[in-house]
Amino acid sequence: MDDYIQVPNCDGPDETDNCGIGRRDFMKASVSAGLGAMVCHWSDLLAAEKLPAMPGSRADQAILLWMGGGPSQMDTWDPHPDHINGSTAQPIPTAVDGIQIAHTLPMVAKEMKHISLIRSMSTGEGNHGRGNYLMHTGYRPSGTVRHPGLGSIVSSEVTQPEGFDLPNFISIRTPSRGAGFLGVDHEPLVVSDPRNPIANMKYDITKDRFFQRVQLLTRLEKRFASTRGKEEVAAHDKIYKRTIRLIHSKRTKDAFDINKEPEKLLDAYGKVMMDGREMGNQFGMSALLARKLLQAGVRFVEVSLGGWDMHGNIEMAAASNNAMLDAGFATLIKDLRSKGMLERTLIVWMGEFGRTPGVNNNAGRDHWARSWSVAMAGGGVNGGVVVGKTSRDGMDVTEDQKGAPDLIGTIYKSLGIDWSKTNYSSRGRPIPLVRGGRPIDELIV
Amino acid sequence: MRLTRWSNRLASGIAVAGLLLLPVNQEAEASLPKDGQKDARMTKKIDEQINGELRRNQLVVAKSASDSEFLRRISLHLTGTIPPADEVVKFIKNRDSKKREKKIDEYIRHPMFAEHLSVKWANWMISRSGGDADRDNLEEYLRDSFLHSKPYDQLVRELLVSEGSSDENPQANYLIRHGASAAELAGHSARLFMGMQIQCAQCHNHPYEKWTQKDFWGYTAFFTGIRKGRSGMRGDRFRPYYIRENGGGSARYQVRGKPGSGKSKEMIFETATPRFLQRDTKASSMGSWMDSLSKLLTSPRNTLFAKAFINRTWNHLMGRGLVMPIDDLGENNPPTHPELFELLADDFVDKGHDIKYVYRTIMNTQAYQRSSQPRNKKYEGGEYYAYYNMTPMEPEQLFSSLMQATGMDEKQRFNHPLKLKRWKNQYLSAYIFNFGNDEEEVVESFQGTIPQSLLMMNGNIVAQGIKAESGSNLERLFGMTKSDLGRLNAIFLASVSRFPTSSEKSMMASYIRKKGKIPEKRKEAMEDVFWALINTTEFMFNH
Repeated sequence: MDDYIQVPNCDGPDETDNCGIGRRDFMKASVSAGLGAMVCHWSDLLAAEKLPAMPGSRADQAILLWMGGGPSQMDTWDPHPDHINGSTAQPIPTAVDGIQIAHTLPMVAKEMKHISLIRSMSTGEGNHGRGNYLMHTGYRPSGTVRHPGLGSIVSSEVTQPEGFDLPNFISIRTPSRGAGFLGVDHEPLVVSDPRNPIANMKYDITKDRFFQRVQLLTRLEKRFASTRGKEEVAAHDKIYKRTIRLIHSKRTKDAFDINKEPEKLLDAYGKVMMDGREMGNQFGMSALLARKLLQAGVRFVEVSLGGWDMHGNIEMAAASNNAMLDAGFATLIKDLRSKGMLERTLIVWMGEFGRTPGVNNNAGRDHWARSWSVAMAGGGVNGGVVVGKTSRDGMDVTEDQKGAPDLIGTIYKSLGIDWSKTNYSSRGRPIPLVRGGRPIDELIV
Repeated sequence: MRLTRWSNRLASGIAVAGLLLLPVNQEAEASLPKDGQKDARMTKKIDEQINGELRRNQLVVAKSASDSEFLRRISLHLTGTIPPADEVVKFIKNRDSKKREKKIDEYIRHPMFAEHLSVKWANWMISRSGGDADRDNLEEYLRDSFLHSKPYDQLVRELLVSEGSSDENPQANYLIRHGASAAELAGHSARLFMGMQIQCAQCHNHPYEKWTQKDFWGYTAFFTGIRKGRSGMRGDRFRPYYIRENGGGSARYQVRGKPGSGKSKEMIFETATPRFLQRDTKASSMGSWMDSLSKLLTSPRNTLFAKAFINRTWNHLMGRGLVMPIDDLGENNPPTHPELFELLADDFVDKGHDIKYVYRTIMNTQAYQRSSQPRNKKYEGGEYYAYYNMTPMEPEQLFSSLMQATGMDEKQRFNHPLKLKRWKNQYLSAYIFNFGNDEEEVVESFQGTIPQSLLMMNGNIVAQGIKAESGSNLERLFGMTKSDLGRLNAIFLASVSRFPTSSEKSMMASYIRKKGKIPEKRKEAMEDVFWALINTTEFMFNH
């Protein structure tokens, strides 16, 4: 119950932290300031107390399918057949009555009862870098604070048993976002090729000599640390220790090797047919590696499908990206289900923004952050739910507008993370996990 | 000795060597002195401004950097690599009271400066992967421009009005990289050349700034004549991309009707005509919108143009920008030193957008030449430059410094010159991230990731480079001196550009002694020390 009694953060005009104060402070403040001053807290608090006790099953690990470049909502989750803007995609029915998605995602359509959609994202950052930052952190980039990305938050909140020697957050074919002030312990391990994930794991000297070198290094770091680079040396030391642990971990070899998986499964993940030709699907292979890593106990894996920045010829481009997405995403759901992992594995699908509802002069779509879609699937969230709605032309959210903090709050809550918690930056500045939003309760199991 | 060093570097940049043989580009209007201007008064003014703020905030100021610290710093900034050991020793021993000023001049004059700067600007303009652009070609154009002191405003104008293919017209590569759509070009150019984040206004009026949708699409309208394409195949390969400007001058976009107008639920299409910084604009006499834009953007009346350059360069040299993040100069994001910022930007315009002048002026300040060792334990006043703000090396700097420290480039020059380029690409691939879009953020520095650490610990460059085998630095040193202490001095100078302290000396010497008297073992011990030095934080930072 304690979860629910904590004061949620409100989206007040004051961005400093009177919203993130603890319960006792809050009670004191309310009494002295009078109820009116903090009405947003009260209503939230009362509403929260009526909620039932936390249900038993929650996801405890997650895969983020990152759609770099900004995928078009019109050509994926929110087709608009009744308007000229939606001319590039036809809708098809899915396993859930009343939900239609783009015709180029037929396999995913069959898994719709595990998938929920938010069709009412409105985020306001139409630049790749800034949108990427916002969707990974829930914050807009600012001059001083480097906010941790959600992978790093999950890595620090959903901890591992003592002696677990793999990184808790791994990102495949995308750098994701770093750990910011959470420090190098929660930085992602970025791997670039799912078939051959980590280079330079072997040294050409004896183990004894390797550790003698490391000892020399530790001694040589002292002068620099004591005169100018205390923090830098500490960070360097941590990352080297993590690396050395990874090199010598017995788990590493197995967890990162997808080549021994059954051939049928490799094909389902890793091959697609396009115009009668067989093509490799790196996204699918990455999803398979993600599944292996989660099986080995890693808590958060990010997988990338890029190429969504379709300023020209979007009909063809989206069809070819969707073929990869369709195979990778649908196979992942089926594979997790058959391994009994689906209930405890949250899958999030998103990019940095959507694309313009109107088609531009090059038959493409430009950046659009005002009315777009994301998807959530697997454990921790209900399937077959659609949150929000856009207008007939796709230009506006007409129901349940949601922002990045709402989505990120939903992710945390579905993983059993106390989303109302506040972290502190290295300068002691309070940074709530979620600011200016709250979990979308109808999605959470 | 210096000759060896430069020839090393020339070998690593084969294209540079080629460049020197070419006649000077006649077309570049060399209106500036080739080595850039000098103005000692300006250097003084900068220090007055910085010192004023330090006094107001009652901060204790660090000492001046030592000679070796100084030389390493300017070498990394101007030539992109650490100095060779013998150059450090020579510089420390030099008694000339003007040796720092002279060294700065010497480096700025050298082709390596143009080379290093061209790599940085190519990263900013088209990113490391380069997308559809021909990166080598653009780099060569930039190198040539920097070498001959082409004024910065002229350079940017040339990039913006270029047409042609990526291989035949090198400066067309900026437009080719971002030419997929007018909105994309608008967003990137505003950010890079003016520090303006106007993309937010693409779909709605900017939340914090004064930019409206009309402003964004008005700016975008300049780019709507740009066409990117390629003309079929040449043999079994695609022809390179080209860029053309044809017509343009209007951008159509969708807006929502005004609430209460009775049309609030309807989509309305509007057409924006070219509009620069909230002023409507006519086409130039040439009739080309890009020509008009290039002049408006680089005009002295547009103060953001000079400011964006100054902030970027200040950040490069001083470890942090006067405004952070460096490409967001909006009114919601004030500079730490507003007066100084204005002063530097105005001066840059007055000096004819002379890039070398800006480097020389900033690098001669006390602020730039302060030690990175703070006087107070709490590290207070970094943003006021109470001490030098150290930064992790850029990936290219780290690669070149590894080559320099290990002597690998010299060895490869004779054996496999092309191998160097391959190594470099392989090395940088640990830093090129595919964000799946055509902007691709540039990773500015060694970030301390596991793959990067593995590269430093076990990568083939370090593994081979630290070996005491034929042609390596270590082997050369072994021939020069028989004493452990002499050898230790040399590998410290080669890697961290300084002599070891006495406690470091005794620590390392005892490690070597423990390995016994067999020559093979002693050699191994020295390799171990070299490995450790290269893996220190000190090696990987510019401090």
